[in-house]
Amino acid sequence: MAALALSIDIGSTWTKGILVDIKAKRCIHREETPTTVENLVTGFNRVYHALMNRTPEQRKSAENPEVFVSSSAKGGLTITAIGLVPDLTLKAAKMAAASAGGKIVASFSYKLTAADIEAIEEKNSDIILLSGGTDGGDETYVLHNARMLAGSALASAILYAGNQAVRDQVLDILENAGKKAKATENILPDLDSVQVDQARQAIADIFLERIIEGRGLAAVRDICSADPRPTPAAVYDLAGLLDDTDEGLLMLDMGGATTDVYTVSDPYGERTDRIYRGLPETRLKRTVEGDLGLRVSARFAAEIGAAYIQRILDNRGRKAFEAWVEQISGNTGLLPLSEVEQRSDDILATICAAESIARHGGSLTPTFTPGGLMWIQQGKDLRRVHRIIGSGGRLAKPGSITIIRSALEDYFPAEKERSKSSWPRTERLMPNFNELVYERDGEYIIPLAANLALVHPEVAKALVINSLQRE
Amino acid sequence: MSGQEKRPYTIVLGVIGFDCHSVGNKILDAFFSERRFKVINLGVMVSQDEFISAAIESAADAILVSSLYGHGEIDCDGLRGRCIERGIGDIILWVGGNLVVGKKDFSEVEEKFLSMGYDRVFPPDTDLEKAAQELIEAIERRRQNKAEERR
Repeated sequence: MAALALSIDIGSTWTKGILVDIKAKRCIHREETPTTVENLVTGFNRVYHALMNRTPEQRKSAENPEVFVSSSAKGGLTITAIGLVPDLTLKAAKMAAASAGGKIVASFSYKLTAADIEAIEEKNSDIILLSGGTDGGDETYVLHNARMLAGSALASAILYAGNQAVRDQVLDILENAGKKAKATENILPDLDSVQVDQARQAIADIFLERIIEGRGLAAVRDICSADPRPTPAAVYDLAGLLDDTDEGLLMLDMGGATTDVYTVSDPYGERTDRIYRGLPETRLKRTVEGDLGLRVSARFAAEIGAAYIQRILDNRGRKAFEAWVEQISGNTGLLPLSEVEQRSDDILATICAAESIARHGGSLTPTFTPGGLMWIQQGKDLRRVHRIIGSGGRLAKPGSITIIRSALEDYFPAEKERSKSSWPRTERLMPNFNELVYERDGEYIIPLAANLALVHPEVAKALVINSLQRE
Repeated sequence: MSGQEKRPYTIVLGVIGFDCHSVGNKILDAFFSERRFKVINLGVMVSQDEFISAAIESAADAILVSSLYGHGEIDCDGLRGRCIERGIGDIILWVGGNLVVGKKDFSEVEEKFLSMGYDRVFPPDTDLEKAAQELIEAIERRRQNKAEERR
């Protein structure tokens, strides 16, 4: 085992890297440079050589450091998810796409129409994930949808992960139309088990072929010790390592365009007055929200949070907030300078945090039965989360605990009044702020440590734990 | 399929969820069996997927879901979606019994279950003769539609 490792992440704005002493489980040096969008290799080489130059002379001669790389540059890995019933195969398809590190840019259920195909062509995502039907179940919808995709102008990779009974037929339809198609196991072989592993692997393969080779990173692949990965796929594996105490962990990664939520926690409540409905939830889960972000998606976030803004700001405050959103939408590189701008940025961050956590989690709906009041749980119970790690943008900076507090305590007024009202109502299953430990990734170590998660899990864990700052 | 006219009307019966009220179920079984229906009776405490599996295996025309214990709303929701995924989205879905707790206006209950994707919703006091006649008509219509689709 080499005693040194390089980890480099090619992000959308920055290319960052660290040199790690594997035995000491410690970061020796770090480097960063703006991502060179026109040719990603230029920026990568800059960081790579800078780190190599820091390798101590006596060790350099003995062994070459291992190299691990992830990338989320140029919009990351975009996926269009297609399923049959929205709550069943489409939901499973979204789970698979998110766990593989994809960004879901559009999703469709039932039969694709000509208008849907136009929308899919316009999105032009890297991968189309086509699912539908359990094994031996429905065939008509996926066959129809495969024919619609075959007739499109799409050049995206199409991954079929639906009813295996028509796997060959679907591949034939797509390949005869000149599409690049692959098939993998069904993500929903029967209605009670979501199987994302095979689809994750297939998506990783497509990522290598199309994104790494296709975007000029083939030379990078040659010096890597393991295949380069989409950044969120690496972070997903890292999250799985971090919750060894079983306390329930949530990682929130807020960027300019998207907000990612990862949880590692028991999905179901302990209470016996609950009935669970829907697809089974997973202990390790990622969701990504493409309409919640601090810059590129600021306008959408402001719209989504309109009720909150209305409640907490007076007329003047709202004008200032709108002006700030206007400014950063025009110039996404802007950072807040004045107090008013900082406050506006904080409000945006609160909206992104609250909405993304709420969407990641589930809900409880009261129902009356002969046995008394029962609660129907849908989605994941985030009340079992007792630790939050914030990373990216505003959350990396000191004082970001205030964002988390506002998001969990003030954003949804109904939640606050829950205890006061005696008549049961539908509740969101959000983490309870008073039962939380909050830490922030002030040094942006998470994506870099994540690259080591599969080969050197103990090192990856130590890097994160030693650099998190508790608030 | 040859001799299709002679294929008996096939229905899947059962009491859904954790409900173990068996008397009504036995009455329905006896009633429909006497009237040239082929009855696949799953008995009490039947899950949504058991209904669907039995319907697929027996190429059933209809699923008749019963619920007596008041959890009907929780137990019955989502059955249509699961039928679609498993390839029998056009199956006739009927539901009946004491579907909700308390005295609620039946039209409210009916609307709720229709919106879940059931084709017909029955209160506890139902004229079985009429219902059987209606079921035969619905099955004939569905078989005709399927035959036309094949052509």
